[in-house]
Amino acid sequence: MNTAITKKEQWHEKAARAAGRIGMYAVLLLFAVWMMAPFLIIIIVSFEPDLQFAREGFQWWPDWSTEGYTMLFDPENEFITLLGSGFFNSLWQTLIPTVGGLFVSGLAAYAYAKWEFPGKNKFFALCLVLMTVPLNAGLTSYLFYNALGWTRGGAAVLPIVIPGIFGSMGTIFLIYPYIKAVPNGIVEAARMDGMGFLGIYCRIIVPLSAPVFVAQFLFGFVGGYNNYSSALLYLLGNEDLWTMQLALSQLINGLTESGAWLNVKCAAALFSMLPLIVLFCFSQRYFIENVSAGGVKG
Amino acid sequence: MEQDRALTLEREAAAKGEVLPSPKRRRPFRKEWLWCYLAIGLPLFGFFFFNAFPIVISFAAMFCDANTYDFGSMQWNEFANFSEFFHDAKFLKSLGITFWLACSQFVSLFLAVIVASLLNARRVRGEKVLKILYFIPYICSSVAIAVMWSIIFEQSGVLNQILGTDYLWLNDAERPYLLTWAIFIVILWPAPGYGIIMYTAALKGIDKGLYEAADLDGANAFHKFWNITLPMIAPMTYFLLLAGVMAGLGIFDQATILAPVSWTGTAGPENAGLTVQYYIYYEMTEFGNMGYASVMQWAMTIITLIPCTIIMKLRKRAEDNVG
Repeated sequence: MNTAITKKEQWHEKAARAAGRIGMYAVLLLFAVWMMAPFLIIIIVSFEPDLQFAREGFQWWPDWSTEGYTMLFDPENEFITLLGSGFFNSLWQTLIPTVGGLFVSGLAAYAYAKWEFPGKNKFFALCLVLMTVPLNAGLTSYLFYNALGWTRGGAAVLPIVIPGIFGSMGTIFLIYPYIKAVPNGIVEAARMDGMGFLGIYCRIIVPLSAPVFVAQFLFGFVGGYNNYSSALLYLLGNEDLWTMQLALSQLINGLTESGAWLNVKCAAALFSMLPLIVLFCFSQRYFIENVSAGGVKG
Repeated sequence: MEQDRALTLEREAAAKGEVLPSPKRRRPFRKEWLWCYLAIGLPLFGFFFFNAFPIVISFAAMFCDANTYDFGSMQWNEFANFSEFFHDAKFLKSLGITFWLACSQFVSLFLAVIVASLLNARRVRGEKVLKILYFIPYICSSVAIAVMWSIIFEQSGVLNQILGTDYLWLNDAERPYLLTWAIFIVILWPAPGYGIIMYTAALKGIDKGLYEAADLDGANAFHKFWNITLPMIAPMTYFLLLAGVMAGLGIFDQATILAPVSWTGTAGPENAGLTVQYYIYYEMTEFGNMGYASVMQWAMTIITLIPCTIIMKLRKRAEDNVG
């Protein structure tokens, strides 16, 4: 009698657990479909002939054609030159402030964590206060850069590249605990061996706290590459300096004015996203494991 | 000079047989200090030069007629910007739309909690792959995402086909709210990825003993989630909420792509796509009216402080609870 009841319970429990598992996988897969469906849809549209979309609308199984891509990569249309130069502009306009800012912020965190100098605690407290200052001039910074003369001609790129080089309080405090965790003995030993301030930073501190630097770099790079508002504000009048996002948005505007060309739009959007998706696939471990060390997308 | 005087004083005192209180000994100056000051000075300089100056100038511009493209044009205008601001229904409307769009963060967090706790509840096959898939939209640019969704929102596009409707999602003069909803979805879609990753890390950190104790008390799964999981991850929730709300109130990119300014000068039908940042940008570039743009920027800064202070207070309390 007793054994029969426990058996029955076990059977119920098993069924409930199986149902739970199925439900869980269903929800997780459904969510994955929701996150991936837009990509699938624009890949399909990018292969749909423009005429077919105009006549029949979106088709899950269109008359596959590479029309969109031939249009996009045709040098005569200058789409690809626009996006290509946009890619290189984005690259250097992102790498300079990201790498420079990371180096400078890390250096400040290292000075605070590993050195003693007069007034250190006061400066540290000042930085903590400044980090929490919620004021930001945002787009209205334009007037300041205008006063500096940084909004005319080629100098328009300076407001995008230069301020980032000086690092940020937020980055200092994200890196600080990682540098603090580097054993003091190693730093002392290096000093005994005659290594200087910079030598210790470059050869000991950075390699030993590499994960936080890599994570910071990746998130900074993604944020810079995706930055649109300041590129739009400062660079719109200067086509040679257009970043990938600005080039994409202007290309889309132009295509909308000259008819639909949805397949070219989709191909262009995919082309602009490809570099980051490739970067992500190669470094997803760093993104996902160190997400808390990377800060929030700006 | 000062050292010499101190020395003579000391000598005189010694001659008289007195003992002067020993002067505070100066630490020997070290070469590395220069490096230290340089290292901590660069970010401080950057902050004051590139953050504080623009803030001061933008503050001054509030009281002036200021042309965006000509710094020298600033001129006192007897609070004209403020009297305009307090009668501006367009700003109120854009503020409402911005707040509505920022509320997408709540939905995003809700989705992230559910997905993260499912991922964490048992061993899930393909957990890594799923996490990567969830995270990919987060690293895509807001411009590309807006372009993607604008294809989906096309009149003969996939969304209308699925719903069996015929809406002009982005430009429906009779249903302008459709545009606001479209932007809402475009903001919501990539957002949960970050929360999912952060939440799975937070959930892993919860003490398993708490659940075992609850099991002994006969708690069911829902009770455990409500009384253990949610309070334990509350600090993370408020952190994500803070970041999300601040980003949400600054929404700009998606609105400019999905609601380009039309020939009538409105961002979408009845300005349904006009967020505050978009309004500021438009006022600055189209009319060159930096004074008014600065007033709106400062108003928005102050308004943003309200939800942020509340969330920070709640976060402090939640952290005290967790201990």
